[in-house]
Amino acid sequence: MTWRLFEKLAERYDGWYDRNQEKYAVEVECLRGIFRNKGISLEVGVGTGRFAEFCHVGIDASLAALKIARKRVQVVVRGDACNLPFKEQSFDSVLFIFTLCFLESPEKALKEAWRVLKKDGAVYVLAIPLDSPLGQKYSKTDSLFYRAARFFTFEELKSMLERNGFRIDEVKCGFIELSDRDLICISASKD
Amino acid sequence: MRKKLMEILCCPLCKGDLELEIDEETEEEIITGKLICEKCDIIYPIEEGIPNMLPPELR
Repeated sequence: MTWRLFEKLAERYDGWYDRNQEKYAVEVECLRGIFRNKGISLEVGVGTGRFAEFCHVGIDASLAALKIARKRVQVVVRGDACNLPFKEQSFDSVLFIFTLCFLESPEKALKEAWRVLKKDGAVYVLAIPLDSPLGQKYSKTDSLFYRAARFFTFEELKSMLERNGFRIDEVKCGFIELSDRDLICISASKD
Repeated sequence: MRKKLMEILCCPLCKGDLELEIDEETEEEIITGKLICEKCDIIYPIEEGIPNMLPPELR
């Protein structure tokens, strides 16, 4: 399971954000441009909590990552994206920030996100799409993290969301390294 | 774990209510304890303030 990788390498993963501050800033900006801050939000796959400004509650399977995240995120819970331990309609927003690519069953995770979202809630997906020059580069890069990831094209992400009851509201792209389509941020409503 | 979290927490498998047993706490936080799902007969431990809500087969 991918999270076991983060269990061993949480500090190294967290260090990426210090080593790549400009790229990190683009990611945060892209999400700020699309995120509607209202009510209570959950980040699924919160990792070390680098996107804490967007979430009140963070869930992750890796305890090592959560021990770092708790310094940044108000509430952390250890758990599985496909078996969320939250009652239905608990959140106004659910975020997947570079998470879907690491999950064994992203479809099941989206179904769970739908369940825990309130009626007028929204899901936010931040990803490096496979059909971008950066997605192509990462999918061929021999690193521990990228080898564990399964990148999706924009169309695949879009249909995955729609199949699981979401309506796409807005899409924003960002430049990280190679093109203006390196990064994609999708917001979608619970339909 | 913030005590207020109990309002939205449930068993990750049956989604039913959980019973809370506190071993160590502060005014706002539960440091050590257990969350119990009687229906599934599963104990979810709270250690160092972090509830472990992973289903047993994933731990």
